[in-house]
Amino acid sequence: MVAPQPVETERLSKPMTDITYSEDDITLAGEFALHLLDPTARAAFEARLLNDASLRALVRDWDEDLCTIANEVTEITPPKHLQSQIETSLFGHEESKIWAFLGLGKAGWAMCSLALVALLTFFALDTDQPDQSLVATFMAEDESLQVAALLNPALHELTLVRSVGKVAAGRSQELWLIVEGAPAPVSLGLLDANADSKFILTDAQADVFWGATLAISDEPLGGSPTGAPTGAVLAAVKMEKV
Amino acid sequence: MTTISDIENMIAQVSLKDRHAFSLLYNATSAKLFGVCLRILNNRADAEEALQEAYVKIWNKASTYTSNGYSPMTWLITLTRNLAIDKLRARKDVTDDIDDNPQLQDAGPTPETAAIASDTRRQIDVCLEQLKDEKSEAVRGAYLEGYSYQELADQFDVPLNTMRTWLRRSLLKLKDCLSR
Repeated sequence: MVAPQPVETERLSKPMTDITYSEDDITLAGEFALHLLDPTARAAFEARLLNDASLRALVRDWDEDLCTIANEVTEITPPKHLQSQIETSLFGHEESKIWAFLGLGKAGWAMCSLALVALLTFFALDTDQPDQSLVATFMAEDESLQVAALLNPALHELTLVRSVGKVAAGRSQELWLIVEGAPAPVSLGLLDANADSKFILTDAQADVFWGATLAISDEPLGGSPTGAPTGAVLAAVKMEKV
Repeated sequence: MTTISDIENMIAQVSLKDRHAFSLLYNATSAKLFGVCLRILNNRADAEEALQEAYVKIWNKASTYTSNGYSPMTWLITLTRNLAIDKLRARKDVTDDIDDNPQLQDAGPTPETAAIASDTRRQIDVCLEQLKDEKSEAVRGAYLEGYSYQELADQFDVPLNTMRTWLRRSLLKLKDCLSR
């Protein structure tokens, strides 16, 4: 058992000694800090705090000074299951929300609970040019992964350029084409770990490209063993033309 | 040993949605915050719920921390304590049997925790000592147990208004002492 070590506490801001507070405010702020005000008085005081920085500083001073009383609170290890419960409630739902949004529902895929997801709708810039053009950017919510998608429509060639982030060691990133109404996402292949990734769309895929959603998922090395996404959606983007 | 600046760094990372930092922060602080919840709520199930809500709030509010001027443990404890007392007040069964205390001893090995033994901030203890015993007990009781004015009045067997006056005067005396 590790004995708790004493820790220095530092007051980050000095008490506002140059401000004179009324006795009423000093006691109100103290009662507020102690949570002694009745609900009406508490709400009224909270409303004042919104617009009054010096009053907020007064409350902060009380909070800081009174907090030392908490030194005598015994530390008690919470039950082990609580941590994963907390993390699931914060992070787990994000993923099932995103998969549901993508029209996939709960298909029994194993969800890796690590990644965060965001959906960006991006508009195609100009698909009349023969060269490739930037059609979308994938961005993970925590900005750990940013991937630009360029389309060369003549060649049905999609290039993904990873500008931020990398493939985790021992894992692969797989690209999926998700079409509304289709029975399942279609794998377009794995992203290259070190260079730009090129994917060739079939005629059928090119036909449904606009309006479909592209998603990058975290998979075991070599890609999904099942033919369907097994890991977390790292980023996804809906392909929409202006 | 987890230091105060470690905790601060974790909170800063959490404000950038860093889940690993959140996990580290939980490991470093949950025993203290759980202790706070248990002390106020006197009920394992409620305390677990409160702790969960506290960490969700910490995740959501971490970005406000950097600009609020609080020291990290004070911010965490204040947030948790207020949440626990809100829960306490909302509880329908107001007449809890206060002898029904859960086991307050640590049931197993403690993970690395950040104690807030503040060598530099014992001022409140000194100032509380300067109050009469029952006044300082009332302040401690409000802080640690979340007692309401009515509960304090009952405990000290005085009318509600008397307890209010006592406590307000005590707060003024404390403020005076703390400002010296």
